[in-house]
Amino acid sequence: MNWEIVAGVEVHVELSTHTKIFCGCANAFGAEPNTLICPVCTGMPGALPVLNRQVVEYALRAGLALDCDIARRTAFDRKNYFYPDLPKAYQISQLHRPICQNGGLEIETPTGSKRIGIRQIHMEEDAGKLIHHPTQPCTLADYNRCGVPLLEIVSRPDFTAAHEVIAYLESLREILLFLGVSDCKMQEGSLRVDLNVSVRRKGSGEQGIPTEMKNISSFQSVGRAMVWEGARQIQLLESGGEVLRETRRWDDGKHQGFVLRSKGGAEDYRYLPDPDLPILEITQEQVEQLRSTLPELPRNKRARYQREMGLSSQDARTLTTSREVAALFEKTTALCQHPQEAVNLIVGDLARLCTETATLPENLQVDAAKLAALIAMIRSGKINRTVGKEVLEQIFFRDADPVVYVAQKGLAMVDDPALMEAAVRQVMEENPKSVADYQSGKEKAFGYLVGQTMRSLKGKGDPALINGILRELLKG
Amino acid sequence: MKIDSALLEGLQERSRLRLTQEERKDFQAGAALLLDEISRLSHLEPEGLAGAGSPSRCVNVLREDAVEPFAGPDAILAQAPDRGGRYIRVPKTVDQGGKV
Repeated sequence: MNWEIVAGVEVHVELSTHTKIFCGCANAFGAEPNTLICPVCTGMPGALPVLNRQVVEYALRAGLALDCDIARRTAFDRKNYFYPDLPKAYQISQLHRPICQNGGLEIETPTGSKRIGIRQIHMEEDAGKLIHHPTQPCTLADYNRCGVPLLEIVSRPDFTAAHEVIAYLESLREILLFLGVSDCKMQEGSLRVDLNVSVRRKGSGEQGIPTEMKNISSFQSVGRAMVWEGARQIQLLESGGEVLRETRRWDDGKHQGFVLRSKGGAEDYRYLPDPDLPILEITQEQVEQLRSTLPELPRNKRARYQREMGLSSQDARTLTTSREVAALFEKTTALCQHPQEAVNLIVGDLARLCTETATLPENLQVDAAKLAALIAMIRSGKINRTVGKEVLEQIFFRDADPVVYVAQKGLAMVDDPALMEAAVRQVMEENPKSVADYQSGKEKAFGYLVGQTMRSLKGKGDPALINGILRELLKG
Repeated sequence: MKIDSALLEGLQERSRLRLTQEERKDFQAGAALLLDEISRLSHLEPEGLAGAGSPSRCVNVLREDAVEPFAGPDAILAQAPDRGGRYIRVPKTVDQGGKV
């Protein structure tokens, strides 16, 4: 039978606000358990939530960047469930009136670009963190994460291949990073992915019963989970079984999914409008004002870098994997006017230094003006590229001024022809055999003599000039 | 409204409750009474009335994104029925094994 795996993705991103969504507790990762809590986020009787203005702005920014319709009136609902990760036994979320709907995101696939529909984006509070004790029959609850603001971005079931899901997640992450709404660190749980998988016969257009896969820890494991779960469902259906609507836990180490619980429908959550939170009205002016402040998004940047600066698609992609790196590239290029030199420096040696020192792009602190000055020295021939690498390391590790460093260390190229000629003559005197070899037709000896001259000038001689002088003197 | 066994099973599972036969009878009778009462709402005629959406007439009540730490997290922690260090201890909720 010809089957097709169909998937949709729900992405939860924690927003980079200073405080939680409905109270003034700090929104911080890694604090002592149960220190960032208050009566609001622990659901004490009588405590009233008040919405954080910044959360709304971030939700709108994400919605506009993802081509969504923005609701003019939006409201919160209570999603009721019995589980100790939320002490008030309901989560404040949005079901009936989400803030953004009907968006989409273009992804690149081997067969061209494809638009993935985004059904909705809604604001909600995060739940606390549970640690299930490995040996004792108990679970430990830390409520610091309760009330941390989340955006849930729900795609349409438009994926039919694992690589499409990965491309979507990478693209979505880039956009959210460029918008500055989240740090999107999967390892800290600030970006979490749930996958809804179903199968259908190819060409049928039907929608099978989906299962939800949770606990997916990387983009690559999303792909593995989709393929594994699709295969399980196909095998089940072909053997006469029935797919049950359930939530499953993906174990990437075992490369297997496990049943976590049967999945309820929306009615099981008994959603009801939250009476504590008033309606939020959003005006066209607000939307347009925010739209005018959106940054250029990675996809557009890539196209511009290729169109206006002649960069390769690979270089353009590497530069736009981080907002900070793209900004450094643009500032450096604006100052030095040589985009390809800036790319070579940033994508080459600077990237190597970042890898060697495990420096994340967001922590990269390199002054664009210093990079531009370094590029100017290389291009004018004041220093060669080998010295350039040394100077770049000084900028990276010590924030050194490249011009001052080159002057202090005497690293500038020797551009005095008399000095160069003296060096060449000295080398010829010290290597009479090589001179004789060259003169008897052994071209290899020429290279050796150039190398010796460069060595005597400590790498600061211009190879072209040395070549010319050496050839003249060897004639004589 | 009749609370049949299937509905009762579902409710038990969602609320993580195990009811005895006696409790099931009580629950069925009590819940049916409650739902009958609620079903009286269907006799109302809301034609022409705008949906409230929210019981409050306020709109756009927002606060600035400024940290206002709560002074007494330990007082909240002290209310927990059981603790393990700074964690709140609750009965185990998940079987990490599960079936494939």
